[in-house]
Amino acid sequence: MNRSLERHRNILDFALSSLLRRRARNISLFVLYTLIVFALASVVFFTQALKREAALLLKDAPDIVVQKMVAGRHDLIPTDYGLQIAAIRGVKEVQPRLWGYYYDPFNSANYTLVVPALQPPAPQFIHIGNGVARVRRLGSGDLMALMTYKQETLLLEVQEILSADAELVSSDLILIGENDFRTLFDFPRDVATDLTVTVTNPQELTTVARKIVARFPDTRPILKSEILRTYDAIFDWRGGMMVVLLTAAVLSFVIFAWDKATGLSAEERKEIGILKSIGWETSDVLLLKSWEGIVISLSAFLIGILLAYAHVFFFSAPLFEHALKGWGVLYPSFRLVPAFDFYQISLLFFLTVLPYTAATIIPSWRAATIDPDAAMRS
Amino acid sequence: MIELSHISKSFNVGKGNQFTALDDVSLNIDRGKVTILKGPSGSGKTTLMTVLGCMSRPTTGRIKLHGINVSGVTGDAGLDTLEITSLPERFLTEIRRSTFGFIFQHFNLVKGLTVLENVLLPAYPLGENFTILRQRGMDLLGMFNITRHAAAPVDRLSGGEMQRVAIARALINNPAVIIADEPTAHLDSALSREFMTILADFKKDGRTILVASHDPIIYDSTLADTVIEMRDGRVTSIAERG
Amino acid sequence: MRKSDLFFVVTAINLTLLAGVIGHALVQAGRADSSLHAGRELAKTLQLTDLALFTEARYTRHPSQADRHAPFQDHPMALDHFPSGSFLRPPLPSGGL
Repeated sequence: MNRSLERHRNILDFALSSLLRRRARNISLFVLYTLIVFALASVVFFTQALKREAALLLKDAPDIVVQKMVAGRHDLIPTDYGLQIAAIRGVKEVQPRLWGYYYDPFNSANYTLVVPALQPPAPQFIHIGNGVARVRRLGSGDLMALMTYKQETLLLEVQEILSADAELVSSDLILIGENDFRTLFDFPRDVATDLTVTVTNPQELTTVARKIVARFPDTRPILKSEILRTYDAIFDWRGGMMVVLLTAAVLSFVIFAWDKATGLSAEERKEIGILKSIGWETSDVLLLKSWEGIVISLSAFLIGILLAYAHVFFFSAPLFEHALKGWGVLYPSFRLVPAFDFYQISLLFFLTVLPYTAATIIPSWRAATIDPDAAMRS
Repeated sequence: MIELSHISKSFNVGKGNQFTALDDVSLNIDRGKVTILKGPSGSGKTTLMTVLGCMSRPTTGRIKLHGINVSGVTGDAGLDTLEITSLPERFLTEIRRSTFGFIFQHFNLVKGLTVLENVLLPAYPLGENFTILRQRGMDLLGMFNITRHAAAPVDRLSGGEMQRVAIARALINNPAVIIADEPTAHLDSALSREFMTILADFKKDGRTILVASHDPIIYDSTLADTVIEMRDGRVTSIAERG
Repeated sequence: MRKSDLFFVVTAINLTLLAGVIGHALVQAGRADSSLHAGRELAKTLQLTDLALFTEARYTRHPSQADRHAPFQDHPMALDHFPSGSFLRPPLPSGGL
């Protein structure tokens, strides 16, 4: 046992010496490898954490959201529908929702205006999300001017700024009273944006939804499960951006492995010949090559993962911010709750470390099995 | 004693460029003696040494090792004759590692490694305690007066110094047999004579020595016990001296 | 110190850090409920259905509410909002049962 350990240590020593001899090349390989792992792992950490947060935050989303459709498009729904739906068996409560988007030409931002059902702000007052406050540099007590569709200015005082902890759901929100909302958008009296339906028995959800559609064929019910599923599918590897990222990573890796696998240089071959001539067995040479592969791939993998974790959870993924922000002016500032996805990280390990090590060993196979007497003749 | 019986070695058997390097060679290498292989290039000296030193197998014929300690392979301490031609590769390598020390014509040192690392290299796979191994390496360097170069990259040394490193390396596993292929080819006369002195020390230690050379300093030396002449893969004469 | 020893030490450090990171994640996951509390309460009170991640367009701001036409409503020649659109799946067909 001790001999075996000593043998590994000796051969590892030699492997490290060999790697250091071609210092520049191996360092750049190492850095590149680490970068690839870093990029992929960052994405994995970020998306998994975000998905989990979405699931937790939206746990209490409405059971059913009922939208009215006109020619396949979302239209305003008569509140009268709500009264009738409330009468359906299995429905506990129906609440009309008033919400919409406001485009602020001042800074090209889109805000989401919501009229809270419970405790709405008093007339002329609004509560704003942290993102809005940031972008318009507003504090409590400041005035915000919104333009109505009738080209009149509506002056509203900021009563409260929503908690920074809730930014992920509230960053761009402006909570407003019903009358102000209707004035702003010239919103008709007897309609709402959509209806939320609460059912008495959660298992009856689909049945109730079906009844709603049967009663009002021009409506579209959106179930809570579908809302949650939307966020489950976010950042899916099939999505455009992710495919590009994955392809770039895989391609870089293939180039790597290719460089290794296209065989040894004459110098490397000569060296293996020398080793065999001084008494190294084929298995010793292969162990040497394995260690060379493991040193680089294992180190790069571990460091890449650690850096990715720090990047996403301690620094809130600044490298992704630009991509995620896109054309949006408002971007929520949030700290993700750390999550370690074992499955995907293990997958990353097997897809990077193993192929790289294999790519280091396999081309040496033939050279390692040559007859040592060839070295005598060189 | 190493006994060779009807050894033949051919390359590219069955192909158009079949070439017979050794043709029915039978001879004995005596234990503790210095044997010189003499002959022009292409006479099969190098092939004979690779076959003898377990680096390659003969096409036909048998090789027996008598009285040379090959513990670890035989297992049974009582056995002192071992036929090596039919051994599997693993055992052959084991014998080669522990029994034979090679000094190559072009030294075959690993460029970029230090002198000490080069000397220790043959022992790495054996898993010996590193501190002990390292000390042995340093002792060998001391023996050949190259301790000061221990940490230097081996390619920075002069030809003579490199050869001493090659010799030190051949001794790291304390072999019973030393095989040297044209050891003085790149040395001047002074260094060549110095080499003979080193060989004399080996002989005193009781090691068996086999040298292939066409350098008169070697084959005319008083140190030589047997001179075997070869030509075209055959032994043409065996001269026993002193 | 031998090179191999140095490598073992560095790797051991890395593995320890990795274990630390996994532990950190597990501990934080347990606390997730409390740190997300404010957001969850607000979402519940306001009956929110989406995260405020992509505010460029309707279908990116409320992907769960978007109908099939939403991506193209903004402008007759409107291209997909990039890159947000490439992160989200296409809207579910209407009548989502």
